[in-house]
Amino acid sequence: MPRSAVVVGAGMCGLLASMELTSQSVAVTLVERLPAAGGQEPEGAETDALAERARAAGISFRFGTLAIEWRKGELTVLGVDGASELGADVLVIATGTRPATRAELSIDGDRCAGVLPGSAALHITESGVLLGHRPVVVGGGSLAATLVHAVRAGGAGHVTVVAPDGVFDPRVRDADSVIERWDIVAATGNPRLQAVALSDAQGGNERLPADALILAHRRVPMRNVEGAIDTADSVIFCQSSAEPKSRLDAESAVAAGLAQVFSPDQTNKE
Amino acid sequence: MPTAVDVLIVGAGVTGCSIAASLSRDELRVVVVERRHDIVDETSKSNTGVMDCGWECEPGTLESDLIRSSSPQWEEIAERLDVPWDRCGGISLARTDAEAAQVDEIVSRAHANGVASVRKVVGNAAVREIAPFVGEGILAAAEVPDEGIIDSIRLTLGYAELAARNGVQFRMNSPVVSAETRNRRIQLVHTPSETFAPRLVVNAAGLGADTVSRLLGGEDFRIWPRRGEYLLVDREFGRSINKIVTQLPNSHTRGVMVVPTTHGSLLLGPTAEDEEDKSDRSTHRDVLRRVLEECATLVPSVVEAPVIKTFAGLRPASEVNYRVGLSEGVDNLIQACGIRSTGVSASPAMGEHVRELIGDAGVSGPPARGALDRIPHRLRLSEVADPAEMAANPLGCTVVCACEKVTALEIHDALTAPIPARSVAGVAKRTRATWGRCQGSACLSGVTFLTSLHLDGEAWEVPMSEPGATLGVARAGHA
Repeated sequence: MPRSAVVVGAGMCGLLASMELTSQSVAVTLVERLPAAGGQEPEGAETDALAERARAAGISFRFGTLAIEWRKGELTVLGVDGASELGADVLVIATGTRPATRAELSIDGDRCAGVLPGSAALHITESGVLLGHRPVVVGGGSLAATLVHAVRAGGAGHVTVVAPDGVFDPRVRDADSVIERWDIVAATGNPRLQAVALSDAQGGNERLPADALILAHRRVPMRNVEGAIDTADSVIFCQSSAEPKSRLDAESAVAAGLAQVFSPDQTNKE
Repeated sequence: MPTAVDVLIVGAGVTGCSIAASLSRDELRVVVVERRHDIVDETSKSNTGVMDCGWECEPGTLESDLIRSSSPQWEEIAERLDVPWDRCGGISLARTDAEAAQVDEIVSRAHANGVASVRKVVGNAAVREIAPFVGEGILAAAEVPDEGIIDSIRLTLGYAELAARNGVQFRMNSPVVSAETRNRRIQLVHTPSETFAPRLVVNAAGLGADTVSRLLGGEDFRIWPRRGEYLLVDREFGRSINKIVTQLPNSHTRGVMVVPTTHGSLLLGPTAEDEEDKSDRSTHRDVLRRVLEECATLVPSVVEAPVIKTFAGLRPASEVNYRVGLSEGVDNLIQACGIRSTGVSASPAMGEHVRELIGDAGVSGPPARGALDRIPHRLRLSEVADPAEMAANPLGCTVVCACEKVTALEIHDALTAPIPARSVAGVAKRTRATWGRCQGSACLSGVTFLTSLHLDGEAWEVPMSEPGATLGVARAGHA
């Protein structure tokens, strides 16, 4: 049984994992890159309540601090309080997920401006930038849905959603057009995006004029603590790629991760 | 009034910048004009980063001479110009009996080039002893201990920053649009915003060198883009491959290779397709699939490798490789172009070589008093021995790009450097922010915000790269 743990990430999974470890008498330090708990994409009032309970349970928070490297029971962190080493028996990675990248989606063509990761696109839109008059959002889940509403509110004229795996958040249907079961295969334009190329499983090809391509398809675990990218000694991953991610999804990701800590054989597989 | 200069260098790639750095040690007025918005923005940006030692060159050529005299200088140059590099060694693999039969010849050629350390390795077990990641079908190899890798962007930035600190001026967005040449001498050179009266012009315009030569009244030749497509593999996988792994070289190309980078990732590529369009940097899935399949004949495990980005680079191919010397038609024009694929490897000696040519053409100056020979090393979280070194400055405690470990201090430095970043791509080139495994998912909004603080215009106008490549299309309205 470990006696101490550092949990990286104060979103829903990180908070749940911290509470669970604390209830098993493990001393927990929770490291969060941002100045507050709640995760990268807001996970609602539920996380606020969780954070409150975590604080009450005596979990020590390190906000504004980035986990840099894990090596032999020691985590190097850098943040508002400078650099330090946090010793722990186990490291819990709860750094959430991100949308798949252009390379992961195999989108060929020109390297033009106007192609953006959905997570960044949301922040940039919310800070007052209209990313495109005719944006195309790739994805059929909750990030895509949130983006449809955000870019529309920002003044986009015609919002198209391309949902390669179909629509699984009904708010996506508020877009001006929804194209299901097609993939974006290329982006063209120079220096800015002018069109995207689509194809479907039947070999169909289409071209769609677009001045922004926002990638919000699939969720990929975010991993950026050196020494804890893949399976590694004393590292537990609590990340859920479910979309939308419910409290239940987070709980099962945490349970699956922590089972490795509390199981007798201590094997550590993702 | 035209701007009077001693030397006008056209092109701010690795060749133009190395020449600028060499000239900056002399008392000369030097200006570099670059048609793009930033230096190191074409071939010198997108390449393998191989630091060749000259083992497989055509012996007796200028290319071979320059590479071989550059090779021993890397330790010192990388230190002076703050450039990540590693003489990691290379291994060139024979996959068939026919290829195995060529290894002796290739080793002899390396020895003829003066690279005595190249040796033949026979048998799969012996090859895998030095390179355990190669396939079981590999029969023999040429081992090249002196070959290495270098960050070609940081190298070019280093040359340019040294030149700038010594007084060389750089003008971006400044293509040569016309010139006045009389009696075999260039009198005036025009860019859209300025006219220069140079004593001598150096054509280091890379992909555009044919156009520039014609505009200046120089000889007619053709440069065409040889496109190479690449895949970049995550360093979590890449760290297991610690050598440059190639096919046996032939006279046309070194072929597709597996190349570690100085940041731990791994490059697969490049292809070599002769094209027409000098601006087409698109990628194609069938081509990339071929790259992956070809690389798998060298290192089988790459088929499983996580790819974080794909891209294309254009090399300037020409009828004559290494067109370096006094122009045949113009007495105050030095050509330094047609450098297809070894511009980085030859650059230390290239700068000095062209400086001598310029002297022979009658333009020289006394040594500049107080000229620097190095640039200050900047604090970078991914390169400091102890992260506490970053903590002295509050900006150094704020990590913006978590994948590549880039702090706000590094981004601020990039935007305020002697040759400052003027776009998000410019920041990325100088810091690697947004270039990691999440490709800006987490940090792009922060990087664009920090960039906007140093540029005029509204947030939506932040340039991602070239003019016109804006972040957005308008201010978000109130629909």
